[in-house]
Amino acid sequence: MALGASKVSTARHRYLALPSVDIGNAVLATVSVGFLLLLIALPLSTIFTRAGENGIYSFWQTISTPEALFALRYSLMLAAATTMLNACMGTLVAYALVFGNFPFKRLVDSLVDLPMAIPASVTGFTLLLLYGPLGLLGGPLSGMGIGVMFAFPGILLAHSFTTFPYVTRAVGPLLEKLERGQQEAAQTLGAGPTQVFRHVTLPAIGGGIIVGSIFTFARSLGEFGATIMVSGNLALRTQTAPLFIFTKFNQGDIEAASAMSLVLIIISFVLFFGIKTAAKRFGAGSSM
Amino acid sequence: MEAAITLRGLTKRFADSRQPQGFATAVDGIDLDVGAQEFLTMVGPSGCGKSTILRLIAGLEKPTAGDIFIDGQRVNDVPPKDRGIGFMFQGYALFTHMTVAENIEFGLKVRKVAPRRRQEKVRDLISLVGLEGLEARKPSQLSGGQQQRVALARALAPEPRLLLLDEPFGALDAKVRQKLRVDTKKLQREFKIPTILVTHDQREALELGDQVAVMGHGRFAQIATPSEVYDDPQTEFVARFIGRTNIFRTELDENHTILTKGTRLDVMVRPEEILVSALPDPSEREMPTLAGTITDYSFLGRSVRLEVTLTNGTICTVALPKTEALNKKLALGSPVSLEITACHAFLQEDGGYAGNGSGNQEAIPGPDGETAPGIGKPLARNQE
Repeated sequence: MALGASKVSTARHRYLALPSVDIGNAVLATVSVGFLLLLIALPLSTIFTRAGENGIYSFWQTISTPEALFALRYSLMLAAATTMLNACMGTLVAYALVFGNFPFKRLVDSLVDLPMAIPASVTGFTLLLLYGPLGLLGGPLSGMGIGVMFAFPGILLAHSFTTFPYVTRAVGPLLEKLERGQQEAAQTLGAGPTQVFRHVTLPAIGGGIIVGSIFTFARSLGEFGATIMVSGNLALRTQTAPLFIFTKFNQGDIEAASAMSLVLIIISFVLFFGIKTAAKRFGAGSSM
Repeated sequence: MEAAITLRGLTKRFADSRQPQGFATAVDGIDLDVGAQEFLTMVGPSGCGKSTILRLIAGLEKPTAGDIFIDGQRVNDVPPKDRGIGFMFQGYALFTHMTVAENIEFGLKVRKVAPRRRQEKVRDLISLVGLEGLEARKPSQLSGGQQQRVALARALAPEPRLLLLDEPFGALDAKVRQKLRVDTKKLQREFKIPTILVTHDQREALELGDQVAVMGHGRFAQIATPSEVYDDPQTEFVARFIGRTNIFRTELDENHTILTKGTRLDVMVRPEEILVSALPDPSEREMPTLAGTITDYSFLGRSVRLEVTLTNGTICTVALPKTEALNKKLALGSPVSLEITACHAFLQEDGGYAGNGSGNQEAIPGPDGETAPGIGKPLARNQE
């Protein structure tokens, strides 16, 4: 007991003896927390008050119009498709980058990150030029009766492009950590290529795929810049939830925009905690 | 009796842009036979190609040339999973996301062994390697020694036709390593499984091997029993690499039956093959040919290691039992005379080891002590 007490008092002593550190700490904490509140928490909470202004019934009325429901469903489907596509292709690319042996590997490696740097609207514009009815690929395709732009495939392409780095970058480090050793050990123990992948590789990178997929889903759900270029923003046909918000706001329908924003924020919160939990559980994606 | 593993002309070259030819030869046309219950240790400096041989046998690398036979069957085109090899990797390569029991079970599971049989087998192996109570742990929760046991049990579980161990004790501290060496050898005897162990530690190679293959530059310098490798090295490289040794660069003073005067020889003398006698007072007696002073004295427990600087400046390492050193009252600074009881001589080959097991560096049986004089400057000493 006496020992414990003396320890406490020493600690307090040191605390008091170094007031400069304490002030620095307080300033640091106040500025950073204050900035985050102002920048992030305040706008977010505004949506809650705005959307709830006229009560839950009114909120429900606004969000359950066919147009709103379509936009929401369309966005969720799009995000799911994008996630599936990128989970498969992103893992494949990560695998090739870690274990593969091909020319220009480093160039390909930096290509993966490029979507992070390119403005989304530019992405949408280039896709439009390439796949549009008069584009290099879009021309022949539309001749065959396949319309890529202003339709689901085109938007999927845009979303897949802008969110591509997430899965690859979450899986890559885990594959590097796995090295060849465990896979070779599995081979010598009698496992064929599929068994090696299922029992050794996949469990080791599964967490990365999950974390990367949630990121992809969340980013896809909110994608705006590229989507507005390639979708044509056609209500009840190609209008995603973020485009719905933008359109309603432009039309002066603040209530509809607020309601949809609230729904997206709630989904985002769920995904956000999903990422946190998954990252903690699998120890993956902590770099993002 | 048919050999369990036979290698013929096995060669592996890796692309290497730093080499003038554009490739590096890791394994250079080697032949090897390992008997049915034999424990062969492969020893050599790092980078000599010994691990590559294991990887070639396991099928993890494709040979550039040559053939691999397991139990008489040519396996060059057999994938690793069908070769029936237990491979213990350097650093163990345990499945980090699986428990101890799951790691050991893996080889049985992928071979579709019935679950009940699997459980039995895992239990047996766990008690055999002494891991009871740790079944549910993950590899990261185990000590180095425990991980090594899991790796060994995992390799043995599918009842492989042969066992390959790549530096299995490399990452362990001395005490644990010693115990695991003994355990591994016992297990190998119990399972009667042909085994190749790769190490850079010559003591480990001598202790564990029924046969020791000494390797340098992608080739075998000598394959023989531990005592033959130690007492009768076939090349200077083997003499230098195995055990502590004195090597003296000499020139023949007179014609020998097969060698002419002036032939340059490297004479190798083991530290324990030198007799030491105390000289009461060097100034009062006629000096013997090999006289010197003890310039270093290391107490090693059972034995004592001395460094003797001869009157001509040559330094010799001498080892003798502790009791003898005490009886002769040897101490730092004592004047002593030396007598060489056995030695090996190798024709000098400038540029060092030529790397051919049967080739140009012939060992000449060591003459007796009295022909030993003429020792010149030591080229290198105290090789270990």
